[in-house]
Amino acid sequence: MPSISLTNPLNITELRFNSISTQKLGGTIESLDAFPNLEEFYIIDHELTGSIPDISGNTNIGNLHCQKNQLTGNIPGLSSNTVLEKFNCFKNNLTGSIPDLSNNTLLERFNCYENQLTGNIPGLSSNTDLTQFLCYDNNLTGSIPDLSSNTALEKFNCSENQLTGNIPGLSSNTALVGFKCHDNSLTGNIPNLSSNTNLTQFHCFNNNLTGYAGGSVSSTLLSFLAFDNILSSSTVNSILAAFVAAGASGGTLLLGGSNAAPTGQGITDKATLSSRGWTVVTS
Amino acid sequence: MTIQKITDVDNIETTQEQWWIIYNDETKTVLLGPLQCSGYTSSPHVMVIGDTEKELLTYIEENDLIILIDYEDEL
Repeated sequence: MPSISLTNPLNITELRFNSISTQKLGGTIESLDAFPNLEEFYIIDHELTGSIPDISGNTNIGNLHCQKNQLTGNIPGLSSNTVLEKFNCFKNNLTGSIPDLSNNTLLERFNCYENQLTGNIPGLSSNTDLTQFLCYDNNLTGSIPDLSSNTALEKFNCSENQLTGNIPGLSSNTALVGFKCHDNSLTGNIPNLSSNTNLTQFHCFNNNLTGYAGGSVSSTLLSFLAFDNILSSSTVNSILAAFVAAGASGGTLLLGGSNAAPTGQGITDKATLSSRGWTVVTS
Repeated sequence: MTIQKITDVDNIETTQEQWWIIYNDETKTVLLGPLQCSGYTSSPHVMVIGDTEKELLTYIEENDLIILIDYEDEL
């Protein structure tokens, strides 16, 4: 495949290569150095190979979208891209670690799911505008970072990795709509979710979680999947009681698999939820 | 191939090896699965149990059920 040589006689600030099913671009992107004022770069759903070019000179770039290609190699350093808002490179073959994001203080979306990324999730405490962090289906290790500064966070998905440690506290993440960390090796408690009044989905199944920090759950939370953990009967009972107290109807609550079975009031609470139109699974 | 369609889903037992889905019969929307989760399931919707994920994906296709996809392709 040839490389794509880009020149910029008109000082273009936005590059978009729209994909038409029969006309996909191949080859590699050698450099974006010809576009020092580039603000937006879209090259989505083509057949690009090679690595994402160095963008350290593209200090005005706000949006970079290279998803659905066949890109390999590491994600380049992003520390110079201080106005970067959206970085989407999902569904490629990227390797290496997620770069330091501490200078990307305007970052809103970082979506690199379905790659082969390794290493830790970097600290996200500087990314106070972050609304979406989706890095599921990679080979990430280490723990989920502290998210207490990410008060704008709406969607966080780091499922299908090899993460260990605890799920961090989510009491500051009041905008959170979806939190997914399933299919990892997480331990400790399911956090208190009483502050997450917009939460609709919480999926932590297939980990090694042993407890529930307690507290109420929002009536918006209609998909809670925590099966295949190591939850005791009393923990399962507590979760069922929290959902009964929330008073919502028509949700999904999966607590089966390797968890213990509910007992006593827990069995009654399961029946109560069923009568409210919930789909409930327990051991 | 052993597909079971259950319309009265009242503490239906599934094993760790079985795959299943839950779908809304009115909207023909798959609400859950295909997945493996052992235990006892109660639901107001329809449950379909099979031996493999492929069996259930075939069932979904042949019965024109809709799988909702979230998080995909967001800019």
